[in-house]
Amino acid sequence: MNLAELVDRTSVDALDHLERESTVPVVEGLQAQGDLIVIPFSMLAGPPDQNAGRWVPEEGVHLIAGEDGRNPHVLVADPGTCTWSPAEEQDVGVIENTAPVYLLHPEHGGTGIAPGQWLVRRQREQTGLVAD
Amino acid sequence: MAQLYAATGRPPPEFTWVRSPAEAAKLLPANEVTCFEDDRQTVGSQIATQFMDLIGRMRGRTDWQGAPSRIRRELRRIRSSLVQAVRSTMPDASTGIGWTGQHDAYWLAELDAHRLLGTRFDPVDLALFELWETLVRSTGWWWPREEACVMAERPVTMHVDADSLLHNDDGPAVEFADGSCAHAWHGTPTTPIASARDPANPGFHLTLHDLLLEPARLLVVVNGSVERDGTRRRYGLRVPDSLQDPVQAAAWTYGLEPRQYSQLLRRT
Repeated sequence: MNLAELVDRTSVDALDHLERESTVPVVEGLQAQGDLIVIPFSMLAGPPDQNAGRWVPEEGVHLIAGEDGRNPHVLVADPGTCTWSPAEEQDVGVIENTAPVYLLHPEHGGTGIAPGQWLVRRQREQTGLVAD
Repeated sequence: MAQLYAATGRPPPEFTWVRSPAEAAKLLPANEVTCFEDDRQTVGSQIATQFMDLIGRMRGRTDWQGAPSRIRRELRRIRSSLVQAVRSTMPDASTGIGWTGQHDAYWLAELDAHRLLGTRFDPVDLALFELWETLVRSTGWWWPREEACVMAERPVTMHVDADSLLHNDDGPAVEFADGSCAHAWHGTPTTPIASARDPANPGFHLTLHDLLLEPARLLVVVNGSVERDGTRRRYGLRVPDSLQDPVQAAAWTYGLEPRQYSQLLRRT
């Protein structure tokens, strides 16, 4: 998967200065994209609170958007390979995937997540949650 | 400066030039702390009073109605960030930088704009006004004392953000020739405490700063992805002041332990 293909599959366009043709790395472990961090379940003390999951549709799921609705982080997966379960407050939700899935962001580009169970969490500061 | 002394009925003082307010503080006797409340007859308070009176009279000639404008609010923010930063470079905070000085230069700019737009001022006021204009163009901060006046050179570097507030995300925002300096983040004075390698952002550092006016610390992080112009955006996050270490602070922002955050494999 490369950035150009991710852009094609979603309604989100990445900034044109980002490299589009090289393969997006798939990471098996802790990784961050802007104000989001993807945490493997093995790092958590116990399973997180989560609501019922649903399959990620072909066009992807907008996990969170920036303050004015722009700059969403979009989860992209092949049909039937990934569920998304929203959570609350700092915890955005849980990804459970059987094949690599991708996070796409207009400014940060794309990054891949290896098969597994993952908690997506937002960055916070003393005054509240961070929005990039 | 000698003419301002003359306007208070005094002979010219002995001038001593120094490289910075920090050097000035060493020369100024500690017992000459600026206590205008107790003694309104010192040369410093008389010069300040004359300046305030001049500004008041000249403003009276303009069509300014006293409504606080957006520009004036912004100017006040800029002034306050500058005053805090310059004061923080001085070892003895009680010396201060006085009632008037370079941080009040914007009042002169405002009145100069009125003059250019055709406001007619009293010729005597205008002569005094031009004296002040010459002064702010010629020096940094200054400390008038009886028979002696300490004059500091201007800063050698100064960094501001798009709103003209003191700001530098990669070093001091104000620096004087003797090396004394002050850090600021979008107008807020800071003191760097510690710096550490960002685990998943090769070549970039996390830095932790004390916020001098807030019960918090500031963690400055560098984006994992580049901007259109090839640079990387830095952003500042306020974190609890109990945090001592930049990696610990970064981990806190994600609700993780430092040893967990250290395992970060990729940042985009």
